[in-house]
Formats: sequence, C-alpha cells, structure tokens
Amino acid sequence: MTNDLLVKIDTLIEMSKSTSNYDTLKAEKTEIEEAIENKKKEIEDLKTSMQDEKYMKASDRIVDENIKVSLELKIKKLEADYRKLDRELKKKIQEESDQHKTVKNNQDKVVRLTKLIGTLHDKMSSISDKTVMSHYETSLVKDEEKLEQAKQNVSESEEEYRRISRELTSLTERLEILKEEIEGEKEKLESTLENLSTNEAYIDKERKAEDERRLEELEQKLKDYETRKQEIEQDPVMIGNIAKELYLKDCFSKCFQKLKELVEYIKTLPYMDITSTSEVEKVLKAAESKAVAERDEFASIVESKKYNGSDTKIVEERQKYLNAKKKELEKDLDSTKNRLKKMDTTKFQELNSLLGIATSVQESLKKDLEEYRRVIEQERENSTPKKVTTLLAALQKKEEELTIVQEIIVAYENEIEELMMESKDLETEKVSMLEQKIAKTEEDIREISKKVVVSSKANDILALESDKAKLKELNDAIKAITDRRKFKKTPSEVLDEIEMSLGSFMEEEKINEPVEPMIEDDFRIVEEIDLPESEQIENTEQEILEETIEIPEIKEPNTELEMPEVVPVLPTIEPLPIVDSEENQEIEQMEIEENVPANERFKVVEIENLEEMELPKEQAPVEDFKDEDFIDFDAIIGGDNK
Amino acid sequence: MNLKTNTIITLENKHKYVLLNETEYKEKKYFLAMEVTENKEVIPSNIAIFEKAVAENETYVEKINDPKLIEILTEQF
Repeated sequence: MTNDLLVKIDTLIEMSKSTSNYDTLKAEKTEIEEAIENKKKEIEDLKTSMQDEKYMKASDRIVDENIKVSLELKIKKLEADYRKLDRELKKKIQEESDQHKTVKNNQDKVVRLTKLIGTLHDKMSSISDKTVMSHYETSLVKDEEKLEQAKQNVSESEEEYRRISRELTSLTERLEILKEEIEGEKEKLESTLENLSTNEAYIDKERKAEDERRLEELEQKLKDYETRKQEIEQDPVMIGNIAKELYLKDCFSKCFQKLKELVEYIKTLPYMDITSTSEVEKVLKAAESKAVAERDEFASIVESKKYNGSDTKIVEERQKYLNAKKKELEKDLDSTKNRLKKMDTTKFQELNSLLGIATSVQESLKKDLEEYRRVIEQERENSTPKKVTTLLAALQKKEEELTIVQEIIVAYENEIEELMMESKDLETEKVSMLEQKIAKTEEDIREISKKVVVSSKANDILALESDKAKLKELNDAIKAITDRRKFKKTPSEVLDEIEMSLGSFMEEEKINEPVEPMIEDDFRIVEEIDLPESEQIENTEQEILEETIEIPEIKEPNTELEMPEVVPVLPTIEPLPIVDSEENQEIEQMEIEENVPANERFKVVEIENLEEMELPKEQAPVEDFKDEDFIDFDAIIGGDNK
Repeated sequence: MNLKTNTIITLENKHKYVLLNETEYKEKKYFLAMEVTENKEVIPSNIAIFEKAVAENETYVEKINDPKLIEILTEQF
C-alpha cells in the first residue's frame, strides 16, 4: 500500500508540472528561515537601539550650557553698562537744562545792555553840559564794555550748550545701541534655554534618518524572504513531499490535508479541473483539435510573413516607379533616335533628291534661256516684230519658270539646313538629356535597391517576437493537452483513491485522539457519579475497550488502480514490517517516534571500483578500517544532507 | 547493481560516495560511506550511512537520519 500511495502522491506532484527540486527547496527554505530569524533579530536590535539617547549629541548640549552661562554674564554686564549710561544721560540732561538757562540769562543781559546803551545815546543827544556828557560818556563806555563781555558770554555759553547737546545725543544713541544689544543677547539666551529644555535640538537627525532607512530596508528584505518562504511552502513539490513525509510518520490526517491542498492547486491548471475521467478525453479531443488548428493556421501565417520594416512598401513603390520611369525614358530615347535616324537618312535623302531634281531643272531652264536669248538675238534682225515679241514672251515665261525653280531650290536648301540643325539639336540636346535622365534613374534604382536590402534586413523585431510568443502560447496550449493526456485519472480521482487508502488510518487517528471531558459552561461538571475509586478506574477501562472494538476494518487499497503512463523516477518503499517480537518492538517504537527525521532515498546510477581512486595519505583506506577505529558520530549526523 | 565496499557509487543527484564498510542489521544491509568529489577526492566531513534498497530491479540507497539507528550501526561498523 505504501508503494501505491507514494506513487499516487508522485503522480499528483507530476500533475502540478512544478519543475522545482525538493532538496533544493528544502535547503532554500532552511536558508530563508535562518535569514528571516537573522533579519528579525537585526530589526529588533535596531528598533531597541533607536532611542533618542543614541542620537543625542552630548557635546552640543555642553556647548549650549556654556553659551547660556556666557550669555547670562554678558547680559548682566551690558545691563550694568546700560544703567551707568542712563545715569550719565540723566546727568547730561540736567547739565543741558542748566546750560540752557545760562545761555538765556546771557542773552537777556545782552538785550538789557543794548537797550540801556540805546537809551544812553538818546539821553546824550539831548545833553549840552559837557560834564554831564562826560559822565554819560564814561558810563556808556562801561556799558559798551559790559555788552561786549555779555555777548562773549552768550557765545561761549551757546558753544557749551551745543557741546552738551552733542554729548547728550551721543549718550542717547549709545544707550539705544546698548538696549538693542541687550535685547539681542536676551533672545539668544531664550533660544539656548529653549534648546536646553528639550533634547530635540541635540538629536543627530542624519544618523536617525540613516537608521530609519536601514530599518525600512530590513523590513523590506524580511518581507521578501517571507514571500519567498510562502512561495516555497506553496510549491506543489514541497507540499507533495511533505505529505509523503507525514505519511511515512503515520500522520495520515495531516498527510491527507496536504494532499487536498496540492489537488486544489492542480485543479487551477488547464484541463485539470475536469470532474470525471469519462469527460477528460472528450474535452481534450475537442480542445486539441481547436488548438492544433489555431496553431497550424497561425504557423502558416507566420511562415509566409516577411516581417519587413514598415518603410519597405514605400521603398518598393519607389523602386517600381523608377523602373517604369526608366522604361519610359528608354522608350523616348529609342523613339528620338529613330526620329534622328529618319531625319539623317530618309528625310535628308528625300530633300537632297528633290534638290537635285530642282537643280537639274534649273540647269535645263538656264540652257533654255540662253538658247532663247541667242534665237531672239538672231531673229531680232531678220524676223518680224510679232515673232520677236512671241520669242520674248516665251523667254520671259522661261525666266519666270527659272525663278520659281530657283525659289524651290532655296526652299529645299533651307529645309535641308533646318533638318540638319534639327538633327543636331535632337542629338545634342534631347538624346543626351534622355541619356542623362536614364543614367540618373539607373543610379536612383541602384540606391533604392540597397535600401530595400537594408530595410529587409531590419525586420520588424517586435512583430516577430510577438508572433513567436503567440506561437509559443498556442504550442503551450497543445502541450498542456498532451501533458494532461499522460494522466488517465483526474486529480480528484487520485485524491479519492488516496482518501480511500488512508480512510481507516485516519479514522484510527481520530479515535486515538484524547477525549475532552464533558464540561458545560465554565468549569461546571454536568454529572458527578459518586462511586468508589476502584470502580471508577474499571469503568473507564471498560469504556476504552468498548471504543476499541468499534474500530472499522482496515481496507486494503485497490491494487488494480490504473497508474499514469509516466511513472515517477522515485523508487518504491517496502511496507513497514509487522511488529511481533519484543526485540522488533523496540526498533519499531524507535522508528515511529515523531522526532526521527525521515530518511532520504537516492537511486544509484553508477558503481565503479575504487582502484582508480587516489586517497590522500592521511585518510584511512577502507582496508585499514578496524573495529576500534573511531567513527565520528556527529559527522554522520551533521554531515551534508544531500 | 550489487553494492559492495571499495566502490564508488553515483547517486541520481550526481553525488558520489565511496563505500567504506558494510554491515547487516535486521536483515538489512547498511554501508558506511564518505562523499567524494568529481575528481574522486574524499570529503571527510560528509560521512553517511546508507541502507541498501532494491525496487523494480533498481538499486537505491536510503540515507539514515535516525540518530539511534546510526548509533547502533556505528557500533557494528
């Protein structure tokens, strides 16, 4: 049964069309699990380390503490200076006020003295007594001296006032500057105090951002690993092989669950979800004939397709046009040459002949005229006037005839000349022009032919690739049908057979599951039987025995099941030996322990003798292996499990 | 194919092992094997115990992973 069942699982794996290798998947999963653990640890460590203390720039805080102290001191000093200046200012204001009064007094004095001097002058103008006048003069001189002195005092006091005013302005300005300076320093102090009150300002933001980026990367990597792990776990080869291992460990229900999972996946593949075997061939036949027809039709289209570039048609049309043009020009040239030939030969000969005739007629007429003249000369003396007149009339007629013939000769000569000119022009202009045009057209044809070659080489790769992909798709559809044909049964049928084989074992597993006590609500025992302890045990045993009797008969698997045509490479496994002796029982128990890892099977494909092998000296040759030789047990356990 | 000591076996996964010693336990044949490279150089760290199995005229080896059985077999080797 083991063999049959494992073959059936292999069939299901084959149906899944997965190309994965179980050993590789297992190794990768182990690696990924290790990597996940490492990444989780790294993330945890990083998260733990990402506290504000880590990013605190202690030196910056110390600097700020120092700045705070120095600012406080500076502000104190500035405030003292301010107070001092303020006192000076107040003093200067008082000084200014005093000086202002002094100036005012001096000015009043000058006014008074000026008024007095004016009065004295008025008085003196009315005095006649010299003594009195002398007295007034003396007084006037004194007052004028006083006035001069007063004026000087005014000037000096005003100067002093201006000096004091300037000093006052300067003091005010300095005080203002000092006030601003104090305010600036106070602002700095306030900002420093604010920084010191929180740690925000001393956090190394770049370092923190770097850690946050690293955390993000690690989380992404972890996510990628988990995705891959999930992919591996969902790989049909993985599911199938786990099912096998579960089966070999006698975990039949779990094994069957895994196989159900595998079948669910297989049913998503084309033609795998057909419910019954009888339908399979019908559906496949219809699908195959349709797919083959589609593939063949498309293949023939692809075969006849040139995949030329999109410009090819234009280039070809141009080529066609140039060829037609060349043909036309050649035709024209031939016609021109024919015409030229005709002109040079037939027409020229004809005109020459006509000219010859006319010339001979002319000569004859000239002779006739000479004869007429000679006769008229002879007859003029002997003949009657009437006869002479008749002769003269005949001569005139002959002369007229000669004139006509001569005119005709000139006309012929002109025509011959025209013909020759025309022939020359035709030859030099039209023929050479046509020949040049033909040569140019030929050159164009050569150029365009090159372009056709280039264009045909630069095939429309996209169209080609797209058609290839479509053709592959159609071929794949046919391959899917062919692949499906390999299996005589549907995945569901294989699963049903497995279920049938495992049914009894699964039932047994279910029975052997520990029975939960009948507890209603939370912790309330529904029924409590008051029996002696010994009886209770006996009854329990009895119940178990009764349950054991009810185990259904183990059904033998259907050995006549139709196997797929393609048998998996994996070898068969011998059924487990029946345990009947104490000695065997010990081994059997050991073998079914859950922690015992499943053995891996490998087919031996080649055996060769050791003669050719060269063992290093330090390694013990096979012949030298003795009983007491040490065999590293850990090396065998931990050896490379390939 | 008959497995015996002093031979190199090639498994279907392309790994090669030299069979160093053999023993029988519970009517089954076991081999002590050491992996060798393509150039037939031994890899001392890769030691394994194989159980011989024959099915459908094909020879298989089953790598023993059970520590208890390994202990018993190493004693016999």
